Amino acid sequence: MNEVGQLCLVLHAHLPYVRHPEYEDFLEEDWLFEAITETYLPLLDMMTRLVTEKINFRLTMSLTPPLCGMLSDPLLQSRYRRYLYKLIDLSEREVHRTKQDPAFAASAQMYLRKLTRCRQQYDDWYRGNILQAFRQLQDQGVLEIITCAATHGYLPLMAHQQAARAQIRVAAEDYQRHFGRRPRGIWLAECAYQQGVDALLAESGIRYFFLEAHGLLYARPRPRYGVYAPIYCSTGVAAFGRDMESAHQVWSGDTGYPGDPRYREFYRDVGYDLDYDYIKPYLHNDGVRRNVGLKYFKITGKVALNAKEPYNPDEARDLAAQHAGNFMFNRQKQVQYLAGLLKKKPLIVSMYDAELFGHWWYEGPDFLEMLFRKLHYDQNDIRPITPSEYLAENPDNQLAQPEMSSWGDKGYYEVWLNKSNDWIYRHLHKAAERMIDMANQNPGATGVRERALNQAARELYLAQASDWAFLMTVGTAITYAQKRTRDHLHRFTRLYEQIQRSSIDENQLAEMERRDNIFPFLDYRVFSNGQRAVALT
Amino acid sequence: MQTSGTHLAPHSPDPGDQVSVFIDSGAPLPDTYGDNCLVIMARDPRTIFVYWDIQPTRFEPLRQEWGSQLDQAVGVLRVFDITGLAEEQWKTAPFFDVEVGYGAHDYYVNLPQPGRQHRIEWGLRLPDGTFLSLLTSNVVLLPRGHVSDDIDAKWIAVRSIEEYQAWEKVLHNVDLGRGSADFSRQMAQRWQFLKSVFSMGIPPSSFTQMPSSMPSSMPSSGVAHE
Repeated sequence: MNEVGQLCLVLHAHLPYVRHPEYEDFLEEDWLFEAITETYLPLLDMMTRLVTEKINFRLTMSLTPPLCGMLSDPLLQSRYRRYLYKLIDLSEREVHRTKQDPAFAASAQMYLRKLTRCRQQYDDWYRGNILQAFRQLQDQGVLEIITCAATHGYLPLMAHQQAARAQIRVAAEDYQRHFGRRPRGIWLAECAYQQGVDALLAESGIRYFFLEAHGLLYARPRPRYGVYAPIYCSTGVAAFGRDMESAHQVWSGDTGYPGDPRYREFYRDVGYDLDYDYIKPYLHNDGVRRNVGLKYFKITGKVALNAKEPYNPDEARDLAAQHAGNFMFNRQKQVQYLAGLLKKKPLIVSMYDAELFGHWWYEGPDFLEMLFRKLHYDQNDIRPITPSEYLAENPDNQLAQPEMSSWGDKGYYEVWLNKSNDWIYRHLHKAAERMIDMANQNPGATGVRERALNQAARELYLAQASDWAFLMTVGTAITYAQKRTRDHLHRFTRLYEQIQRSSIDENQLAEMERRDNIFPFLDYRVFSNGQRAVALT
Repeated sequence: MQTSGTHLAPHSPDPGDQVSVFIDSGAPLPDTYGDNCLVIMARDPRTIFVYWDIQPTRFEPLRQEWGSQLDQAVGVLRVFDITGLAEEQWKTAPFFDVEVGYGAHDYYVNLPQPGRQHRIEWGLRLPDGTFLSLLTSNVVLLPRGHVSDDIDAKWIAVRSIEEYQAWEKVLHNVDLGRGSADFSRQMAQRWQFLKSVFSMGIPPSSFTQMPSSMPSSMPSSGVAHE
């Protein structure tokens, strides 16, 4: 291994738990279906292809418990098939409609080809179980899957340590259930860290986590190698820090790759463009025009939507290859410079949301594939590596205390704690206090009482999802996020009161179990800390 | 049916223009849980979010003692800087007051300096400056927001979290009530762990707790580990 440095590419795949059996058709479930179609299946296809061709690569991916739950849920699997088959139907009509139109025919054919491939993967290869495909790639050693807090809970904003502990414990158990072993690493939700979080990770045997750059750079004492080597917290858990140079090349709204005018424009969609009677069967039941997933225009530049130019798939794919080459070149220069400066092989940790690749940046999976091919064939300076491999090869690292931080806007907790969402915390904290009390007071519950306690825990977990606070801040799906928060807290409170009165409405309980079915094997005792919860006075 | 892909519908979508089926944002949550509590949450190097709940009964003892003077009182968050202080010193730590309305239940406190440790009390301040504390918060430590001045690097080798945790148990659970053979073995294990920690300067304070009968290969002032 004579490389100059190493590259750890980390993709965080997450969606909030959205499942509404009470509706035949539910808009927000599309988030999952779009991500499966445009990100998860293409990434699996890419990795499988690279393995078949014996191309050496390494990828680290977090698959969060809510995402794993949704991907393995029979109702959502069935609804995904319905979504996919409808989209394939539309794309077949589109191929026919655009046959004589050279500006759009290539795009239409591309969609039909890709969607048909998705169906082949999903139905024929994976039989609806794409988690097994990820597991297999991990077992083959090319992919390292890490976990995340149980419902992507924002750990530093939980007033009770036991609530944060319960997020980690259930995550580790859920991971074991899906992937057959304990998780070695974790993606803290939003990379939100404060002192003490690492102790909770150590309790569950988790070896490492990730920090935004300043979380590591501002550690005490000062990290000798900046973000280019991990540090150990005093608990022995390693913290890897994000490289901002490689992040900027992709994430930057102005200069990042995804903003290139030749890439596909996300906001120009056939759901808005095509004749209403033609497109209506492919919209939701309410008939409102929305994104359907087929898009025919490229970004073009800073122009109005109606001035966008037709998308050229071949041009975009070539561009993705160019950008992959550019990314690799920049990493080569970076590791050469850093190796000379640090007198140590630098580790570049490049962290992104998985859904950027394919969903927001349509050509993203092509970029990744080209990057891995080029890293394998065209150079020897950089070796792709996983965090576990790095720690196995480099067990000696600096001891330091990371700084409170997150990868949210402004680097701390403001996105999740501001005027739009700060009202939730008193309620979440109270519910956590009550849950801990109930767990302590009911060490041996059985039957209906146990079911009620387990369901109360589920409602609390679902209320704690940091997605709701995030959506309230960014302004998309605000009412949905508010309703989810309130609904789960109300259900929790209802169960709490019934448990206190020892009078549980079994019909209500069954309905909650049917709807909010995350973590089917959940044991409420995970909230027990063996003492009465201290009220926050 | 549209025959060309170039038709543009009259409606041009915005990024935020995804119409949700929900106009219902859920039933309101309670204004109070009947508690008396004051919770503070660190948000960034200079901001703490505070929320509190206080019941009318909490004021009764004050009403009896201070009577109509309470009508002149203002609600105040008293923000203490307890950085580096032992708990018994917290009450006399430096502080500043933020006036908050009687009806307020939350506030964003701005701190003059980052990286400090704080505790807050909510109470009533009388015109003569007397502070009647009614609620006491938890403690938070704010981030520094810049690179550390501490450059005394320490290094450890961790081959697995289980191995590290096993060492940690030995480090913290030396059982002096056991026989000398057990004790010696534990101390040998403890030294094994401690030898893996190097510092450029002063050894860790646990070194000073070593009994006199120690192995002769005791680490000296530390070897720089590169």
